[in-house]
Amino acid sequence: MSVQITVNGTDHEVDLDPQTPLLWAIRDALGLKGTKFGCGVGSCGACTVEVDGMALRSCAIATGDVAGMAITTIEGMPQGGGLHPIQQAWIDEQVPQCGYCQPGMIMAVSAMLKETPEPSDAQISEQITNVCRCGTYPRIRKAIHRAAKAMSA
Amino acid sequence: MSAVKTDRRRFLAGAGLALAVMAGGRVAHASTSAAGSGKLSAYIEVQPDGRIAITTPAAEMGQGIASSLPKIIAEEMDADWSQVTIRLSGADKAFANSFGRQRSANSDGVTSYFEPLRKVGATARQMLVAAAAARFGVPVEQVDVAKSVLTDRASGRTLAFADVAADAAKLPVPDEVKLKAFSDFTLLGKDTPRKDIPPKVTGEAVYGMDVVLPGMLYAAIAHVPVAGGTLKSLDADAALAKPGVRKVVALDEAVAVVADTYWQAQQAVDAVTMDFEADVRLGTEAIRDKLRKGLDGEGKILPFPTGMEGREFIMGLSDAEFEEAFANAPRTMSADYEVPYLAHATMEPICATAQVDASACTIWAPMQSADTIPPEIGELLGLAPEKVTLHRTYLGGGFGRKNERDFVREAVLIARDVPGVPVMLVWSREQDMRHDYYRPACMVRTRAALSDDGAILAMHSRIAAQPLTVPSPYRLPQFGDGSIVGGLIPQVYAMEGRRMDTAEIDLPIRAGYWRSVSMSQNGFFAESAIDDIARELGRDPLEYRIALAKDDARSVSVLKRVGEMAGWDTPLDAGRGRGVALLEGWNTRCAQVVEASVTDGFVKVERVFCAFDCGLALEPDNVKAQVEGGIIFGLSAALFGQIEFVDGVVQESSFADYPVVSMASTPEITVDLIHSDAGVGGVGEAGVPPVAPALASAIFAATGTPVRRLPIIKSGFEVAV
Repeated sequence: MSVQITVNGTDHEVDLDPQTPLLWAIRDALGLKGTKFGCGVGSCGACTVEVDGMALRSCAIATGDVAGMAITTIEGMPQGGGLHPIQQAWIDEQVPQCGYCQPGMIMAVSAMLKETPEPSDAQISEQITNVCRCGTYPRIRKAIHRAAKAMSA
Repeated sequence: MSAVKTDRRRFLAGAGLALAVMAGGRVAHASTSAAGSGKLSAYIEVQPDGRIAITTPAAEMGQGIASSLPKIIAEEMDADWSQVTIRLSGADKAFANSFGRQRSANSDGVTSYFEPLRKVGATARQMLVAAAAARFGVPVEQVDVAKSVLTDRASGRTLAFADVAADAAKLPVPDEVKLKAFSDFTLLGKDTPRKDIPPKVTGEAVYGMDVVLPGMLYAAIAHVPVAGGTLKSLDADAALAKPGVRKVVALDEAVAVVADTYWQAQQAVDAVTMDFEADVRLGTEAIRDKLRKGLDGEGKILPFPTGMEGREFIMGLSDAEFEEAFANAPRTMSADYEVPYLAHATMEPICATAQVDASACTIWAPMQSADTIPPEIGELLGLAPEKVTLHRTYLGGGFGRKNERDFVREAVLIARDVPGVPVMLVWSREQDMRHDYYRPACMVRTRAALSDDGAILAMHSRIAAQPLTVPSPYRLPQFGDGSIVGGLIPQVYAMEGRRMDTAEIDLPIRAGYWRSVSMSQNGFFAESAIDDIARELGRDPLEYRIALAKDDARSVSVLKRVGEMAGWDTPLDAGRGRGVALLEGWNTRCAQVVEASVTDGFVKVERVFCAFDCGLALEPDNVKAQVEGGIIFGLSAALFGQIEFVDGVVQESSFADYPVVSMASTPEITVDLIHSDAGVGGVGEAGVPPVAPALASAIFAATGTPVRRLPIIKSGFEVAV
C-alpha cells in the first residue's frame, strides 16, 4: 500500500498502511525528525504540523486522510535560506529549554498567526494549547508577540 | 607538496590541544588519537579554522548546561565565545565531576564542575601562552590573551589560538594554574545566547527519539500492568502475524515487539496478550491507609540526623525530650500534611537505542546518567565495562526520570535478540505514564512547641513514605532515607530543638528522583508548618519567616526582596490572597510570593514573584528561565498533579488525564536575581519547591481554609487547566 503526500512542497509516494498516523509517515518514512512524538493521542501537540495552513496534531490523523494536502513541518519553515520570523523570535526570546515541544509550538503559532496576525494574550491562551513541561510559556507568549510584530512590519 | 603540508597542518591542529581531567582533578593531555579520530575524550579541541570545540560533560535536558559548562572553560581560556562550538558527551571517565561522578542530577551541574572546568580552561590558556611566547621569543609574562588572540605586548605581534595549538599540545601540562578572580570574568555572569537553542528551533537537534542508524529496527513495549507484577506467559500469535514484525521478546516484567517501524511494533505489541502474577494490588486509599498508620508509629520508624558537627551526626531531641517540651509549651501547633504520587511526564517519552553482539554493546540514549551505564550494562550482558559505549543525545526533558536505567536495560536485552542490528525502543505515552519511577506519596505529621513570643522551642516532623534509595552503598542503614526526609525541618529557621524521623513503608511501586527530590514534598511540608505556626501565633507569614531566618542573611535578603516585589503590605480585594515560602538548598536561596484569587471554590493563580540568590549566576537570563520553568513545574503538581492506583494499576495515561499547566493557566511570573558572594549555587531544582506552599498559603489568605493536602483539587478546590 502506498499514499501520496505533499510535504514542504515536495510530493512523496510513501509505502505504508494509509491508517498509519501522519506523524510516523513524516518521521520514519520521510526521515524528517523535527516533528516530535509526545503522546500519540493528540493531547500534547508536540507533533503539530500545518495541513493546508491549519495546525493539526499529526499523531492523531491517518496519513491517508491528508493525501494530496499541503503539509508543512518545522523543516519547511525557513524562508529564503534564513530562519522564519517565528523561529528568530524563539531565539531572540531564548524560549527553548529541553526544546522537544518547540517545533510543535512553532507550527501551532505559525497556523495561528495566519488567521490572527496580531493575537491578544487571551487569544494566545485560547489557541496555543500545546504542552511544554519545561514551562517556557511566558517566553513563548513574548516570542509570539515579537514574531507577530516582525511579520506585520 | 602543498597537499601534504595541508594534511599535516590539519592533523596537528585537529589533534590540536586536547585536555582532559583525570581522577583526582589533575588536568592531562587527552589521547591525541582519540581527538584526531573524533572520539570525544577531551574537553577542548582547537581546530584549524579557529573554531574551538568544547564538550559539555553533563546531560543537556533543558538546563542550558551544554552552553554554561563550556562557557566556564572559555572564560578561563580567554577564548572567543563566538568561535566555540559545543559537543555532547557520552560516558567517559575524563568527564567526571569534582566528586568523581558523571551524571546530571541534584542541580549540581555547575557546582560540581565549576572548579574542574575552570582549571581545564586555565591550563589550556597557560599552555597556549607558553607556545606563543616561544614563537614570539619573549617571556610568557609579556603575552596577553583576549578572545582567542595572543598578543606580544612589546611588539604588538599577534597569533591566533589555532596557530599555536599544535605547539601547545606538545608542552607538558602545568601542575598549577592561576584562576581568575570572579571580578575579572568577562563571560560568566553575562548573558550569552544559549548555543543549543538554534538547532532546537529548526528541528535539527537530535534527541533520543531522533537517532538514525543504518538498518535499524524499532521496538514497542507493554509492561505488566500491575505495579510489581511479573510476566508468566504470553500469546503473541496475533502480533507475529502483523506486517513488519520481526521478533517478540519476553522480558521479566514486559513484552516487546521488534518491527521495521515503530508504528508497526506498537500495533503488534497491542495485540499481545499477557498472563502475569502480582502478589499485591493496592489502590490509592489502601496506600494512604498504610501511610497514615506509619505516622501513627506502626512499622519501621527510623530517625534522621538534624545536622552534623565535624564528622558526628547530631540527632537532635529524643522522643521523650520532645514530648516534654510539647507538653509544657504555652502554645503548640500540630498538623498532618499529604502529597500524592507524581509522574515525571517528560515531553520525550522514554526511549533508547542499542546495538549488541557477542563482543560489544553500543547505546544511543537521552540519559541523565552516564558513569553507571557501562558497568551495569556490562554485567547484564557479560561484557567488560569498556566494551559498552554510551552516546548521549539531547534529552526531551529529564526531571530525574532519565537518571534511571530501566529502559536502557530493556533496550539492550531486546537488541541482544537481533545481534548486530541497532534497535530503538520507544515507550508509548501510556507506558511512560504507567511505568514511571514515581515521586512517592508522602504523609507528614508536624508538631511544634512554641513560646508566646514566637520562638520554636521544639519541632518534631515524621514523614511516612516508601524509600527511594536502598541502604548500602547509598545510605546509612540506621537512618531514614535522606532522599525522602532531607530538608523536612529547614536549617535556616532558628529552633531550640528538632527531631525528624521516617516511617518507612514497603510498597511494590517504583519510586524515584523527581525534580528537587526530597524538597519536592518537604518544601511543601516544612513551609506549610511554618505557616500553621505563624497562624497559631497570629504573626504575618512573611514577617515571621524573616524573624526566624535572621541568622541567614541570604534568606532574609530574598524574603525582603520578594515582599517588595509583590507589594506584600498593600491590601488585596476580597477573594484574593498572597502567600510566601522560602527554599534553602543547593547553596541557593529562593523566596516566592503567590497571589491567587478564589471565586466560589475556583482557584486562579494570578501572579508569582520570586527572588533568587544562587551566588554568581553564570547565565542570568537562563537562570531566570530555569526558575520560571521550575515555578510552572511545581505549579502543575500543586494544582492537579497526581498518579492514582486502582488494584495496583496506574489510572493516568496521557496529558488528558494527567494535566499540567498550560499557556492559559500560566500566571504572570516575575523573577529577580540577587547577586551574592556565595560562590555558585544550584539552579534547576531550587525554583520548584516554594510555589506549592506559597499557593496553599495564598488560598488560606483568600478563604481562611487551610490546604494541607496536594494537589489542591484534593483539598476541595477547583482549577482550570
